[in-house]
Amino acid sequence: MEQLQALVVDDNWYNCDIFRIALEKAGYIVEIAYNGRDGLALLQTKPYRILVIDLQMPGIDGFGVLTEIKDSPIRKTMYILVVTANAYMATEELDDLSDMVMYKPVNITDLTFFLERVKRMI
Amino acid sequence: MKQSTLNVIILNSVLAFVYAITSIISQEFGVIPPGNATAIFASSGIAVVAIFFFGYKVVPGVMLGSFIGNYTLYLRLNELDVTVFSLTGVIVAFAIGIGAAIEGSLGVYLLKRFSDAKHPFEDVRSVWVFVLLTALASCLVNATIGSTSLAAGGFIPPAVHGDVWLTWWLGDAAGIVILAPLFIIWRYLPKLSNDAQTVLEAVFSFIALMGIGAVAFIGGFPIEYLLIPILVFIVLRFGLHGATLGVFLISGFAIWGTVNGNGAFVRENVNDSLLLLQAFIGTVMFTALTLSAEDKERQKAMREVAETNRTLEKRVIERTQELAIAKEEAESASRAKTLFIAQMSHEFRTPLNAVIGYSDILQMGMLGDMTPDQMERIGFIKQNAYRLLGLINDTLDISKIESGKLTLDESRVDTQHFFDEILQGVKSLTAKKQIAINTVYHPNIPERILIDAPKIQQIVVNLVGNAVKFTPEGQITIEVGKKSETQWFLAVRDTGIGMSQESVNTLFEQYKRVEDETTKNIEGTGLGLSITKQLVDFLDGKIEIQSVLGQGSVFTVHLPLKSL
Repeated sequence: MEQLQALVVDDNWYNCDIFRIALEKAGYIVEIAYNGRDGLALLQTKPYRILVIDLQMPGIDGFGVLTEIKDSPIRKTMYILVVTANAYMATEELDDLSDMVMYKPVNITDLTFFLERVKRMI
Repeated sequence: MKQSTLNVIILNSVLAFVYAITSIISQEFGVIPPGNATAIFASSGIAVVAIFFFGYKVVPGVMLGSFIGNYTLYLRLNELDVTVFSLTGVIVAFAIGIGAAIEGSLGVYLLKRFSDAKHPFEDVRSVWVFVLLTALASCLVNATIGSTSLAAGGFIPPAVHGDVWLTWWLGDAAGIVILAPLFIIWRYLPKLSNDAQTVLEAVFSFIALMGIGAVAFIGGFPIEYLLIPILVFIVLRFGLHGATLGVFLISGFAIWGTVNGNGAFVRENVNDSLLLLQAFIGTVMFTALTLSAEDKERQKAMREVAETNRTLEKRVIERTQELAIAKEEAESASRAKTLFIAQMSHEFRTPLNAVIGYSDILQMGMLGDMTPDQMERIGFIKQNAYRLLGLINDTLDISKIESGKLTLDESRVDTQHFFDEILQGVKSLTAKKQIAINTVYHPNIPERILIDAPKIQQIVVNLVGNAVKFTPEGQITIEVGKKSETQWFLAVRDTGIGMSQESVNTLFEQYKRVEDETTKNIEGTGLGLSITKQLVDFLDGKIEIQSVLGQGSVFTVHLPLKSL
């Protein structure tokens, strides 16, 4: 079976590391971008099954990335998990831009559960 | 010789001349036949006016003028030629001159001393000072000196000494009463508005005044009383200028009429006529001045009130602006604080995410198996990390509540379903203890209710969390019921350690945890109940606690029941 691709976009190295471990454990091939610009560049290269993205980042932030790909065809086949530490940022706007919002600190059991589900929903 | 000295000499000479002429005219025309007493001695008024304006340096002029006037009178009465020298005449005239000087100086001194030195007729008190002290009291001096000198010099028989004294006194006083206010007030021209109505009013009221004066004192038809309303009108419309001029004109008619044997004041006895005339003039002037002063005081008071009002209004505006600025500053500070706390919360959560995330990864064996001891310690790391998270959440909640950011978020919920879900959520709180938790629905609770679900949920979670903390083992019950047609309640009942009444009283204060032997090992920020209380307040509810030490507590929240 072809391995599923996942992209993590977060400016915090530790968070990226944690998501990478959990995603790899769930069977994904993981790539990491530490800012929105790199994330957008990577998104153009291949079809990702899942995008895990932080909101608050320097430069192009999570909203910027999500708004950019909102009407792109890649959006149709990709699940978007927003992970944010800022409860104030969780606006209704996010409902349209993403499929799932998790608040930091993320419970890895919940995350794993979500990743497994996404994997089955091909 | 210095210019100023020369000026003083000229001033004194002019004054002496004017004084002498006035006294001769007064004696010539103001005499009521068949006697020789002067009805109105205008010179005494001139003296007061001159000293008032130029100061005491013109007193010699008064003395000289009086001397000349009286010596001339002496010569005339004795039908002597000017060239004849009479020592007696000189002595008597000199004595009267001294008296006139004292009278004028004293009058001005008293006026300036006991009333407003620059504006002596602007208030009622000053009018009294003027009439009583300047006119009546100071004129006693020259009346006494003058009449005594005349008697001593053999010019009047001792029998009439008293009568002469009286008419002298009142004549001098009348001269001051008529002339002093007139000149002192009219040194400045009246500030009249020159609109047609004011001019017409002035013209007609003075024509009326003079017309009535003419009828009363020349025509001999006794309608003097009609002068009063006209004078009152003039005083009220044209102030002190109108008052002094009006009285001056009335006095002119009264003197003219009485001297010529017309008007109500003419009596067989000369002194009686004089007394009536002087009393009339004095009364009229006193009335006019008092009325005018009263009016001025009232106007001044009104101006002060208006000024005070303006000041107050200005102050109110200033204060309002200050408050608006202070409010803006406070709001801005509050916004900054909320933003800061939100930012801090974010900053705290990011490393916590790493701590909890790595703990999870290790615990879930994602990086290989661990020994049970290691697993347990990682569990401790997680516990503490979650405790820290609780602190951060509470702080954020308090900041939200304090910045007034709470909004009502009401929706209709299925009562039992809603609380059953909460129950499932809070069950995890009791996982590590021997605590049973259940819900009890009173049969009267409506199937569906309109509530702010997130806040009610937070209230229940906080109360259950609190109950779990203070209940080592036993039972926690969430009760939901209807209290009345307008109120429902939810209660969280535990079988925990309970509290004393004293502890209950301080329970909702921020950061104030009940600290004693029984609670020292219990974790918490002390913010949870304070948040609960503020949420309940926000929902217009009330929270009530019953607690018995060693038996448990019941927290009951009463909330308004909103019908669907």
